Amino acid sequence: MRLSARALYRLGAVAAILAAAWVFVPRFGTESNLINLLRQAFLLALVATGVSLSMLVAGLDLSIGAVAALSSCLAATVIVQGQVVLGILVGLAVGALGGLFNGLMIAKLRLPFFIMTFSMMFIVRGLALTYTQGTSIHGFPARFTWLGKSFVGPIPMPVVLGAIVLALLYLVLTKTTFGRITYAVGANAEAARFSGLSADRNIIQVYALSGLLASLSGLIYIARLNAADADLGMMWPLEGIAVAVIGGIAFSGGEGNILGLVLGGIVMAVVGNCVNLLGLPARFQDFFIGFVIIVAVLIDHLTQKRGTVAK
Amino acid sequence: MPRLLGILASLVSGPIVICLGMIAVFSLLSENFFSLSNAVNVVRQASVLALVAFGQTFVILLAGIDLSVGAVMGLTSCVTAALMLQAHLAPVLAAAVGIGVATVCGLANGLVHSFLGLNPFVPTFGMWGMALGAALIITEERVLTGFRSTLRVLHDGEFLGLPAPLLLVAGIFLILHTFLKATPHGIATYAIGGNEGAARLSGVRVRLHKTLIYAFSGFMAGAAGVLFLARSNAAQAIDTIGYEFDSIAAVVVGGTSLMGGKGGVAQTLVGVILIATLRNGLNMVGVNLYLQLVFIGVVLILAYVTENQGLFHALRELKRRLAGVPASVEEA
Repeated sequence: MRLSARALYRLGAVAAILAAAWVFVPRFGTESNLINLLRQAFLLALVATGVSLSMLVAGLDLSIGAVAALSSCLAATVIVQGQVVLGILVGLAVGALGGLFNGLMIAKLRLPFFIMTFSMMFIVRGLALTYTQGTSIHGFPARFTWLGKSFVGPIPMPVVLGAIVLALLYLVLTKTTFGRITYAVGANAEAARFSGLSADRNIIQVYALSGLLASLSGLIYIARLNAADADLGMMWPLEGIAVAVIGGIAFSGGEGNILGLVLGGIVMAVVGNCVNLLGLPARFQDFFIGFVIIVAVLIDHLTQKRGTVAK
Repeated sequence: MPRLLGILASLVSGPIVICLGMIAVFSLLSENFFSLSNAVNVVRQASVLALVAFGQTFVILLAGIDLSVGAVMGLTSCVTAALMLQAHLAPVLAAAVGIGVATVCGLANGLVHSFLGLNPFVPTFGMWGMALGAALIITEERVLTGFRSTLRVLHDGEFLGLPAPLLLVAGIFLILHTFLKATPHGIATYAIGGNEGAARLSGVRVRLHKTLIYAFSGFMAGAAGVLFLARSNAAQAIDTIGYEFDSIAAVVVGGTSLMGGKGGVAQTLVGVILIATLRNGLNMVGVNLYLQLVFIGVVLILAYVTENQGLFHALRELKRRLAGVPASVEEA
């Protein structure tokens, strides 16, 4: 894998942020804090995978949080009865179906992605709340909470799972026809169509995959929390966009490396973590995260401009 | 006369048909729905959304988007309330400062977007976080209440038997509609949204214009925040979160294109009424809050489809596409 100049910039910036936090924030460098940070970063990166895929095809999936809530609540009902594998399959199937529906409406009915996934956010959230009636489902068997709570050596399981998912996605996006078409459709859907690529089919696949990944993230979250409720993932679309944008996935589509999500996840996790460690109330988080998003993207944007001029 | 007919024909758009259909259904299902007092209720409920959606309309006409408005509304109402409570400022003055803060937020969005060239999603979403954070910091996550309620007249007052928020929204609507349709600046807004490069070459100062429109969206969010405060008589940072999406939904459901250059505040007014009627009707009929979300999502999609493609055309087209027949030429 060759690293572009911009990827190096981004790596350098994240290293600088980590170094600054290490030096200036007390207890940042302790082992338990770093493990927490890593777990949070990879969970955020997982949440951002669906948003990133849809951004790669110049779209956006705002329904990921709602889809995660509905699929994990349905899965939870099965899992509390001891049927762990069946429950997971139910959850993933519901997520993929929700995403498939988004994709069909966007590609076949030509609904703008914003209208479709935004409406879907309401519809699916409403269904999830109707299903649970606002209660939470808890008491999962240890065979399931293992997904969110256990460790491989010192590494938390969500980190391992997140790394596997990101690595698979990276391979799929760079080494398969599906991946190549995804980037082509995102860069210029019309050109892709005229080149004989099936843009519609690709868009449907991408949104279905986004739904699937949303439900997977949801399952790992409820395994970690040992409880599922219909409020899960309210902020995921926005958090996911932030992680993706900081990670270098372009809004305009067709550009970005999925592995960048790890960096985006780390930046967002560090901000939250430092606010905690500095003893600031949690309310400062939103402010700093908003600020970091603008600054991070701005730096990226300005370095990009310079790069283009140099060519 | 042909002009009048044209106006009448343009009135029969998808959202209006859906709106009339909903009114008919709700009137059948609930005897209290079709009444003057409930209509006044709907107007009061819709007024806050109308103000913020008007600002959003201008931004979307530029093919932009303003995600910060919900948080900026909250910041405005919290700043206004805090100034009245802690600095004992006169309500009007406090509201003016609150709206000023909102305008500065919008101006910052506009500057970062227009002059640094960032996709508007990024600065306005970043501003969303910063405004929400600032409001939480100011209020220390509490509900601010117990100030003099002079502002309430904006929401509860009546003039000549008409509710004050109706007059406020109607007045602002007329000004904005005239501005968009009959002044060079309004027409420049459409020109930029339609084709930014062409607008620049025709002598429109695109970056300045865009910046001012984002500032205006902030200003309108501020006004909506004050009206929200007047309604609830209490300020909390997170109360207005969600208005960013509601306002975008109202604009788009009304028929303004997210691609820019097409639509206007008249369309937005229809979108606002549609959403407010739907929420009110579902409440009256006794649909629980959870299921209401499902209905809202479905109506959003329906409104968009009927407005932009015609429902039956869309269904035919879908059938054709699913059968593997290539799309018609204009959509290819």
